[in-house]
Amino acid sequence: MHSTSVSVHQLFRSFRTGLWLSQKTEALTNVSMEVPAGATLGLVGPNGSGKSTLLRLLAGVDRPTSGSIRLFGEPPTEVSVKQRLSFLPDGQPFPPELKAVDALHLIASLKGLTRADRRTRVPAMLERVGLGARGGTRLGAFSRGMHRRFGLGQAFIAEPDIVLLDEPTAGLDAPGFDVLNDVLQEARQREATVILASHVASDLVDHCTRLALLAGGRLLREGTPDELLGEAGTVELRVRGRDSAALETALRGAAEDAGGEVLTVRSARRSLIDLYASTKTPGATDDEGDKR
Amino acid sequence: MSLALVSLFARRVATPGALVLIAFAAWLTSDATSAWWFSIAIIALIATVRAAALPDAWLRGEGDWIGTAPRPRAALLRAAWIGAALGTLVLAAAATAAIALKGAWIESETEALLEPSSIGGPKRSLVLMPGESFEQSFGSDEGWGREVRVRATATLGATAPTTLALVEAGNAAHRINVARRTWLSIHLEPYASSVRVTNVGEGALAILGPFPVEVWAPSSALLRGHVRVWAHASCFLVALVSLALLLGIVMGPGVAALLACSLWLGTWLLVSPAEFGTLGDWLPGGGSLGRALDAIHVGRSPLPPSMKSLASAGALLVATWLLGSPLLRTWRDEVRG
Repeated sequence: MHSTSVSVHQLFRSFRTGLWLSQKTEALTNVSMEVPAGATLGLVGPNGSGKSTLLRLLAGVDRPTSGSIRLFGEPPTEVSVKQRLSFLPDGQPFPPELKAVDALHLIASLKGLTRADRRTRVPAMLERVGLGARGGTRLGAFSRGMHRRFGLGQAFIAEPDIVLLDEPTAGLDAPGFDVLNDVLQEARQREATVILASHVASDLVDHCTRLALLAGGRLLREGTPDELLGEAGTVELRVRGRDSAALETALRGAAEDAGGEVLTVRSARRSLIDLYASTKTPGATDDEGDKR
Repeated sequence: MSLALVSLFARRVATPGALVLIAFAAWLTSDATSAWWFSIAIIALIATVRAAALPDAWLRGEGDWIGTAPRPRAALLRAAWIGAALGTLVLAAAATAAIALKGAWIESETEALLEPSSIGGPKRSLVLMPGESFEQSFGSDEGWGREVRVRATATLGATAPTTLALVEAGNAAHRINVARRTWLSIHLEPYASSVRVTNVGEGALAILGPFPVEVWAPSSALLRGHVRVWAHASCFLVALVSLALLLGIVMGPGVAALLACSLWLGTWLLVSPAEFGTLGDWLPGGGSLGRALDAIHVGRSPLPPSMKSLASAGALLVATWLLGSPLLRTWRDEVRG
């Protein structure tokens, strides 16, 4: 068992574009990183920073211009590696003419699941991602959020050791975030390595043990969320009591006594997910209004 | 190989809309030969574009999930080739069913169907002056219902004299006035093994090569020969679709389909001239398909596709599949995407 599941060394990827392929676009420049087994790495960065390209290279569907990638010590194009890998690509690339249940059967069979396994796992996974009642719907009729849920389902159906998720939160509604939390928690329990990419860092921070900041195709920084996002000498408290005004006064006094300065004070809010969970109607599990 | 993946690719080529269109077009066309020509042209158009669009879809994003499947790339490509070929066969079968059903509905023919049992004679045309004869032998048969025919024409002189041919086979004989290109045909008695054509008129008579003598025997072909035309058409279409799929890896689907058709047309023009005789039969969709449709046109059954035609279609299928693997370097093309 390798303690490092993903190893990337001096990775370059460039594309020829434009008329007569005369322009050269550097998508990734000299990217090197190592991801320990069982870690959850968040790739963050603005649009066009190379996150999706890096994930495709790790998934073995694209080739680097130079440099090397090893997953469990092997190139990602090896069949033995692909047996342990799952990829949720960006967009909606799954066959639109197939029903969700048929498409999941197809992908599960390609991943090597036996017919008996598929019979139990496919319906269970559709239920788990909230598409149990939509199994007979063609993927072409799915909304963006439903596509993401389906994508999560296909990524986790074979219990992979490495999971690559490109923009997993794109188009997800609040119950969709619950689905994502659920599958990521299960992956952590199995000690699977997860690499997520998003241009919205706040979507990922809670899930990740490490973050990597990409911009302009370069890996700028890498570290734990606290190392990268924490503000030195600044703490946040959430305190519950009967009288919020009294709490605020007491805390201000305590902060000043310790030589500190209060920067912001506001009433604590529930998350939108909690709000939705407490008010949603039974059976409202999809996001029909989010059609593209 | 994943049957589900093969099925997906087959469905993309033989979509319900394409099936309905082909069946409808075949049903509406006036006669069986026109229906076949029309159907083959439509299927060639639809199937080549759709087959060439398969790799285009992979490179635009679909390869992200197909390419991560723990299967060798060659196996995934093989599934695509087999799926495209199956879809094409289904489209051709839809045309066959529509044409055969329409034939059965309208004609309700009961007379025995004939098919070629031998084709022979000189490779080059020859001219018979008045009084001269041409004789060609062929295998004898004890059965009834055979017919022999010889391709001939009148050669016009300055005074345009009458051209009269005497056709003899066994104990049967009859005279035919020849004014233009025609078949000199006569029914064969059992055991007849040769035909003689004698110029008994005043003008010259030409026996038109190559291989002007055809012997026709009763046929037991299914659906009055339409299944055999389906085999000829499928052989051609599968080869064309296979080529389009290969070209679709390196160019857009429209250009790939057009180039595949152009390459076939160029090859056909090279091998189809009369002096090559049946040399062009190795080309799927070449001379043998034309003869099959000619046979249908005169209410007869064609022969099944020749082994060399099937072999060349199979070889093209395998060659394009083998070439596809190195050409498809990645499952993603950022320039296209």
